[in-house]
Amino acid sequence: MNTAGVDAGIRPGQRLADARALVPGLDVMEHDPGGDEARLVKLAAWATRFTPWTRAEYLSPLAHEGAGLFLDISGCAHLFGGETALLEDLLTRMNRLGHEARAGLADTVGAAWAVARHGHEKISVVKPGAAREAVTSLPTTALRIPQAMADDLTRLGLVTIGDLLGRPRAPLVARFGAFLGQQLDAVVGARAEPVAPEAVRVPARARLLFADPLIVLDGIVAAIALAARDLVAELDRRQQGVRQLRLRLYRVDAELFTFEAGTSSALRDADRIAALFADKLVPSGGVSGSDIDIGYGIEGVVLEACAVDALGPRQKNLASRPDGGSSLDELIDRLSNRLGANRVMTLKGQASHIPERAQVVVPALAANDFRESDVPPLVMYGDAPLRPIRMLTPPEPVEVMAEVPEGPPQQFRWRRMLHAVTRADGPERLAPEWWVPADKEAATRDYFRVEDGEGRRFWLYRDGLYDRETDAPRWFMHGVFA
Amino acid sequence: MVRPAEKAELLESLKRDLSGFESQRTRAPSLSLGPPEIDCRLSGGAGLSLAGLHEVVGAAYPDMAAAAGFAMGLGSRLVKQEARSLLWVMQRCGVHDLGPLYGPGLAMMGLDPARLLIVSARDDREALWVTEEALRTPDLCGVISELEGSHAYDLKASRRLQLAAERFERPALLLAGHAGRAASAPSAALTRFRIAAAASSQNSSVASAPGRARFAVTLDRVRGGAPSRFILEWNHAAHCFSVASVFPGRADGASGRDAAKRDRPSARPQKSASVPRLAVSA
Repeated sequence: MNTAGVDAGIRPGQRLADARALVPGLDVMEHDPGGDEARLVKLAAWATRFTPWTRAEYLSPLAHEGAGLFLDISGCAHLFGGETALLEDLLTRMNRLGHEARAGLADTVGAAWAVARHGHEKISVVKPGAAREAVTSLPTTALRIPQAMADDLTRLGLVTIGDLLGRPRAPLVARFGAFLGQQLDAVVGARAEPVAPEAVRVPARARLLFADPLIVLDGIVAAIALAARDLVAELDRRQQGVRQLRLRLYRVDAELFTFEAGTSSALRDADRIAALFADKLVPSGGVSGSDIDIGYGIEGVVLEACAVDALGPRQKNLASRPDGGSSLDELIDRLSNRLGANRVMTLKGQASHIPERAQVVVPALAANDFRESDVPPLVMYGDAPLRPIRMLTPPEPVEVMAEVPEGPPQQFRWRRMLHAVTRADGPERLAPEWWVPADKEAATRDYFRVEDGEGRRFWLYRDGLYDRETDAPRWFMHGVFA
Repeated sequence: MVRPAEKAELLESLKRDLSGFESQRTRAPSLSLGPPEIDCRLSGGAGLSLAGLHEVVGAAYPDMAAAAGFAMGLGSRLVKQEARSLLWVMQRCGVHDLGPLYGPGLAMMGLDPARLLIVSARDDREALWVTEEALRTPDLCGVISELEGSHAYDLKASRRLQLAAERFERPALLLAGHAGRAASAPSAALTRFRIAAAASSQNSSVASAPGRARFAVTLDRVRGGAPSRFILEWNHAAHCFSVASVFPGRADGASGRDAAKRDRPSARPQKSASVPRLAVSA
């Protein structure tokens, strides 16, 4: 409901037909509580620009005003030129984000909530120690109690919070329950109500410092293994698995070495984490390790989980393998970290009939995050496959002698070798994808599967149709068949 | 001095030991290529031994596509049989010569692209290292590795891979260039296939179109077997090889005249595939 709607007389709880009668051109949208809440949580995260202590409050059953944000700005106001300036800034920015908002500031969460919703000004600031006076004249709904309870209180002649504060507590609590008493205490500050912020995410981290610096590579590798064990213990507690790791080695003379490693799936195995970095440091096989100059020694090792995924508890000792081998994930991790993530790849299909767009090469590390589009499988007719096993990228131009206008190649010269075509199949006509900007100027391709006298099979295409698109179409070699 | 009787006894015992080793090897699991008459020619006698290193070389530079296709056929069968992923180690040379692997085409060979992990190696040393690492990985069914044909792949390197393959019972297929370059370098591989392209089968729907892929296979080296030559045909529907019947008098519709016209005299044996012909060693 927006301000214009409220001005026109629309109220919550009203039936849609009544509302339509008031405003014939009413724009109606389905209420999306989940969406509201998600947005509120986002706003709470955004509000950390003012203070680290923020919390989203979603109170739909209790208050028509619905949602709110709590910000504990203790010690932060001076950064924004004082409390009022901070609130003004906050509201201006909220407005700019498209949210109508009011602000209240007080010693207690309860009082701030009350003045924000029931104060006269858009911004109400309650002076320190004045919470009690500020709320005395406000209606009892400002106590964050259900509407029904407020109605009952009104029936007894208790309209404002001040009416309640002046009464003996015991009969009130006996009549309305302990909740009312708690809310009263919260408003005046007799009961503590801290703003518990959304979990501040501190990355899991393990740190080892050494009085005597480590001066041999083996020692450093052993230290990494220790750090990995600490990190895994922490991850175990958080039920997380690591996707990205950073290792920092501090040399005594303030030199810092940083290594990063990624994993294909959430990982919580000390040996494997240690192995990822050991691979980087220690040369083995044909691949040399990173060349770090240990110099006078390494005095600190910090291992940090930069990116994590949730990973439930696991059973131990079942996964151990008798042959000392490793799983596919582990291999992907090791190779990716050793050779580079974009050198360990998987193939994914894409819904496109343009051959080079029908597949994308995805780093194996990111393969799980890649959403493959539903690709209808190519139907194979006849005996021979329609698509080559390997595709030349980009296609290579070939000199072709072919029947005009649409005949298959008779002979062609590719990489300076002349091939006489003995058998050919085609054309398979593939029109450009006009909805793709890059294809605006592209021409229709006629693909031919051909076999030469030696039994070698190729995939050739003529770029462009005679007369209609071009007078002298060019030919390209696009792939080879088995 | 060893007396003749003792010598004979010693020889006998050594032979017994050796046959013991051999039988151990033959007990290893294997991959059938399809036709039993081909399987029995490979070491072990039951197809391609999974506990071994196998080389696939092209007969000449332009046959590299056929060699890759043949290896892919083996890989496709291997993935099917073991229901695990396959690692393909690529190198710049392969990408430059033939282009990168193409998923939709692999799928049509029967190799599910989702079961394929591709590593691009900088040089042969790195490719060999990755191959050996992959052989230790239980979740892989095997490795197909492209080599540039540098000196990094020598007898020692091949023995390393052969031992790793034996130990973990996972095959490594090396696409080791073409015969011109790979020559007849010593190697510990169980098998060396030399592959040449061969005219495809008669297409059942369009007579003028290429049919099923055929490969002229020369078994240059078979441990515990004799070299031989045959033509294999890849069945794109059943995903298995069959012995091609491109010879006169065989009933597949191809007349002898056609076959003779298509045949390359140099690379094509003119005998029935059930009779092995010794390859002339270079």
